[in-house]
Amino acid sequence: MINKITKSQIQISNQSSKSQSLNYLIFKYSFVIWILSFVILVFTQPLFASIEIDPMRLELEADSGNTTTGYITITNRANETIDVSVSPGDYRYMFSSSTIYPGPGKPQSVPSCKSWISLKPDKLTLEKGKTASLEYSIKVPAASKGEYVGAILIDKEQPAGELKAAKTGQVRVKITPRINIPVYVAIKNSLSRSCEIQKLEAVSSTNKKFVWFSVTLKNNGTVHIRPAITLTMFDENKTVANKISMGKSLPIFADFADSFTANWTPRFAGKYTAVATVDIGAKDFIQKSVLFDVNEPK
Amino acid sequence: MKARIYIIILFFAIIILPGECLAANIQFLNYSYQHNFTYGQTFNFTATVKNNTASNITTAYLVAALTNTATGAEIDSAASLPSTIQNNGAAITFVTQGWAVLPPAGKYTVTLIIYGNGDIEQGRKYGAFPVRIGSSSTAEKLQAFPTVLDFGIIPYGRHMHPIPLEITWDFFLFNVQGKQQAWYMRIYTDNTTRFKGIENAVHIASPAGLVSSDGKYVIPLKIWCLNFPPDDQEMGWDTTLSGAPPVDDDTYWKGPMLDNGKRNEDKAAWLRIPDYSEMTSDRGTWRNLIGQDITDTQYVTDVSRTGDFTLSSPFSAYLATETDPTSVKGSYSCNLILEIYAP
Amino acid sequence: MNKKFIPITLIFLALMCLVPQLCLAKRAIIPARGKVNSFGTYSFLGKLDFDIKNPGEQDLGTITIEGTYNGEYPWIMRVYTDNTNYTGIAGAAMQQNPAGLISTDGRFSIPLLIDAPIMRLAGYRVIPDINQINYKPYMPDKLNRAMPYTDCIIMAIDPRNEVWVAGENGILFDSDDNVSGDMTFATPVEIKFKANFDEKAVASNYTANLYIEIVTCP
Repeated sequence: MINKITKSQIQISNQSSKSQSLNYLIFKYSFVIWILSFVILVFTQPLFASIEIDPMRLELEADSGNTTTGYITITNRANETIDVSVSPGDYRYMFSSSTIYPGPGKPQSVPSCKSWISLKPDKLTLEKGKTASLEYSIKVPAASKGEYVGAILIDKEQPAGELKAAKTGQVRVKITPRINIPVYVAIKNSLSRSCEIQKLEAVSSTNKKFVWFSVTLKNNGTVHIRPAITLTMFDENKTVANKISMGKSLPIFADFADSFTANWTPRFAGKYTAVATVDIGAKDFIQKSVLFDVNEPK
Repeated sequence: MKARIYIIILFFAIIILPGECLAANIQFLNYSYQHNFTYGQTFNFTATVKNNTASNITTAYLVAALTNTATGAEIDSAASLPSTIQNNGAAITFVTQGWAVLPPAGKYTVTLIIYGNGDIEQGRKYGAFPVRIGSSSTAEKLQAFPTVLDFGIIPYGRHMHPIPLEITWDFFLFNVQGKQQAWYMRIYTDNTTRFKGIENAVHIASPAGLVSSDGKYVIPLKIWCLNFPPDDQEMGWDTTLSGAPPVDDDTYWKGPMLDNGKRNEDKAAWLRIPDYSEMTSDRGTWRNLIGQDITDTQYVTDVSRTGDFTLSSPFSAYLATETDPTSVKGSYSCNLILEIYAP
Repeated sequence: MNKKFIPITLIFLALMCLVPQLCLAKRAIIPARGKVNSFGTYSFLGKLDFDIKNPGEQDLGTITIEGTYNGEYPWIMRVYTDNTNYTGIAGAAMQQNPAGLISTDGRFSIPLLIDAPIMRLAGYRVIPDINQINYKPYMPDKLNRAMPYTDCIIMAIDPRNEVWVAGENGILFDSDDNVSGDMTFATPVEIKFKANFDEKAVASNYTANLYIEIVTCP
């Protein structure tokens, strides 16, 4: 019996020392393992293709009557030399059904700066793995104010097949991959970022056990804002019952508004206060609160 | 000649049988002892026995033998006061008398042995529960190495970070009755303030994982340690020999396939690290690495009656990520909180 | 605070530290960080060069999309033509559509259709022209209300789009949900094109300027 105990003690200590020695080996050779994994990664990476652009968005502040310049870098990640052409384009909006357009009599879109944008060079040939910089210039007309939007279109030129002479019934489609990067130009002398919480609603559902919140924000500044909204719920004892991040918004342009919604399932019935806090990157936050009741489910 | 050999083999076989069967002179009616002590505390064992033989057992005494489960070292308690165990079947209770040398901190199996008739073993009983002798509260510790986890450039697809988190711990918790209190070592992120998400998204994304610098995007983190699946009997991957299971195999990443085509996520080896905001008082919402809970049937087994699923210190935990087109280019960070928590 | 209470308080605090059951939590905070590089953009392999041999619906070919793109979302990949050579027929009662394949004299157009995995059971869709009247840009769909946009989208990520988030079963808030509205597909993936050369297709050669555009996150 004593022999059996000793044998099991040896087994236990062997297992634990085996585990410890495994840990020691892994720790000791972790650098080698790290290098090996890096090498394996390099050779098993999927083949990422085509071009890489930096930056993917231009948000500029410019003086009225002046020219602003900057650079965009393009890197060729393809396995071949490519031809790239760049051109100014129209801004592509990505509104949603919650977007609230400006009132009647006000422009329903932001003025375009497409004609202000020039690019040098507008055509380039990039060898495999190479990076090139192209310069953009934005010539702001005098007496401009507010904000203007446009786009820079970067096309990878792929020629279509040639049409054969004296023959009909041929179809030739020129396919051009394109990347559209948005451009925002805010005129400095009229620059103002501000918004107001037009409406904050909290509606308790009677048949389902959740509360629906809606925050309507209006941009009453002159340039677009990207607000981040947080909703904090306090119970009757002023204790935080829950906190919901409603997300960081896509651009809300001047005179536009947007509504943000969220649901919350409270654990207990009672009286609550919801406080919406909006951060637009300015010094102060904007807040608004609303009271609401949560009743016992029927 | 052959018959003699067989008889000798049989004799030794009988010798090797469990002692409780061999020494059937004594029958243990019951026994008791506290399970948890702080180092330096003296403690005793009580056993009530009766005599099954035709003659009295004189100068009988009880000794408790503790065997350290980590080192195998054995230490005996001081014997109880001697007494005679009558052959009339009357029950008699023995209580050990402290320790000549107190056992050091550690976990011990318990063997209660009755000697008598001139220091001859009359019977023994193995305690169902181990004794845990803990270090004092000032010796408790929880440390992780490295102190900063730098994933570097997170590659596309699934990737196990090759350098594990090495966790050193020493913790001990029991209540006034000496019974083990439940405690868990859990890991989570705390990203409520830094994560913002996308406005008007249909689902509010989970903030658990590495959060982008603008707070809009998150890369979930998964973790594995020896307490997690796979069980090599069920899935054929021996974790003690082969280490962390491969991340590229969906069997270990998502769970083994069931007959209905879905995955058994409960058996996945790589488990998601949650955010503190997702955790409630329900232990199922936590990501527990080690711990002990006698009330949790998930961990209480025939082998571990105290629901002890601790790993000896230090132990390693591996982290992994999975990126795809929703893993937006940029810098990501978070704070991983490693916590020993007793509810 | 009365000074004689200070040593009592200190003793009490020390005792609290020694009593095991009052030690409830120990914690280590490990900062973690990482960086995700650009995975590049998509590339498009193949050509749409086709000779019409028979009347009727013809498959024009396939384009293979390779690579991946991990820019900020929401983003969409849309396809359209920009047929600046289209003139239409002078004196026509209704304005004609410049979308699709345009005859070499610029007067006639044949709709160009595309099929991509994102279209699921809906099948082929007509590729619009960016210059056509009332071209409406993309807006995220609601489950009970499809948004009236003209964009022909072949890949996208938009967690605001209920139809994409609802997954293949079209039901929201179940296990099938595609939380990030990720409508990209593991590449390489093929997109198919076809056109119908019926009796209205005038004998001519046809060309088109087809753009496959990634509209990046605004």
